[in-house]
Amino acid sequence: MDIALTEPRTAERSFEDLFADEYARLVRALYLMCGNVAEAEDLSQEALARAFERWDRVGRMDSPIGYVYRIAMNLHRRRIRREKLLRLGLPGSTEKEEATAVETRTDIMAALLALPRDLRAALVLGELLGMSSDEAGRAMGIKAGSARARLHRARAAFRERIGEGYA
Amino acid sequence: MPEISDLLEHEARSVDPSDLWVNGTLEKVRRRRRVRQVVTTVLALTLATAGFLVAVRTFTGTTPSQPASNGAPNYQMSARMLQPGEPVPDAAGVQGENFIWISVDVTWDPENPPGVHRCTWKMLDANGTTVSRRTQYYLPRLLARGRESYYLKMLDLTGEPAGVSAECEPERLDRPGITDLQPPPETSEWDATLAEFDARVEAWADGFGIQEMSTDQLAGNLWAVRNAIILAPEGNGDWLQVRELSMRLHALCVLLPPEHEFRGGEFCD
Repeated sequence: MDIALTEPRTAERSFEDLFADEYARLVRALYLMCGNVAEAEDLSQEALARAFERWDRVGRMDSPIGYVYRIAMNLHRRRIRREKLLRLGLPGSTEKEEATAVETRTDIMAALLALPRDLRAALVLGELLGMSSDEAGRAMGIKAGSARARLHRARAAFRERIGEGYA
Repeated sequence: MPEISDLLEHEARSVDPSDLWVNGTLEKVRRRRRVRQVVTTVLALTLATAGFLVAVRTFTGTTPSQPASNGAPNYQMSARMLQPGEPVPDAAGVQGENFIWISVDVTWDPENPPGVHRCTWKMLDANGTTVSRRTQYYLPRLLARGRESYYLKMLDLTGEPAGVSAECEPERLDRPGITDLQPPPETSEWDATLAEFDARVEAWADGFGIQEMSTDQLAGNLWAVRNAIILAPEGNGDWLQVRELSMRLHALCVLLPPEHEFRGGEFCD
């Protein structure tokens, strides 16, 4: 009788598969987080590129896409930080410009963008992407419990704002 | 009112990356990886060649009667026996019945800190026989200075010391870099010189325990190349909270006991 000496390896997801399956979702999620399609596409591309560069390891992770989200969110955070630093040296804040831009958006987007960035991220990860608290926590770099609490606060804040918009 | 998930889904659907754009992106990503591979290969070859040349130049051997030196690619260490009359760290004197103090000097390029190495100091008698030996992990404490001097007490002498040798293994035990640094969401103040970060730990040197830790409380010492800051982070889980961190984030290293190795994944640049 032939005996199988080795078990078949679990197939690793190829980068192309991940890209095909997740790219649009990634762009959309990031769009909701940053409110800008071009920025969302740019972040998505950069995050995927970085994941691909390390695909030997990333491909074996439990959740490669979680890693990609994590990278994308970090990139987004850094860009915001850089922008804030730049603003420090510039007379006149751009807050007014942002406020004007928000007014032209849909109610949903306006409500989202009115949330603090961390709550917005929690809402998108939890509600749009359906991530568990553990997954969302990993993506945001916080504990699962904190992610849960953040999502709870985000839902309440969003409902409050979207309620105003629909009233 | 509709479900939040439905509202977000509806809004998200307003963005629809075209297939053309998707394919273009995929090609860009592939191209970037190829370029990175080439650059990495070239860089690795260059570094390997440079390291070999430096090693050949600096490993010249030690003699018991002379200050010993150890050459690693980016730092120099020398050690010598203290002489009677020289100041020493305690009142027992330069040399006792079973011990002797040595002075160790390390210099390095402040822009290129050596990190953690396993070093061994040996007391040698006139015949070159080891009469005392001490091994420990070494990390310069104030990397910004580029120089550090300290004393070591060599114990359990088994003969008359005549010289000292110092050798550090070339392997760098720490991996510089904190995997992620971000201002916590609650942080509202931010300026160019002061910030508050959560630092996620990725790697540390084996056996280099700095402080006691438990699974839900990480504590460690951090070093930065410039504006040396740090110390005593408070935190929990996988996170360390670091205050007043310098902006030279890339130069940080975190060293914590190995049993708390961070779960998989690398999130640094």
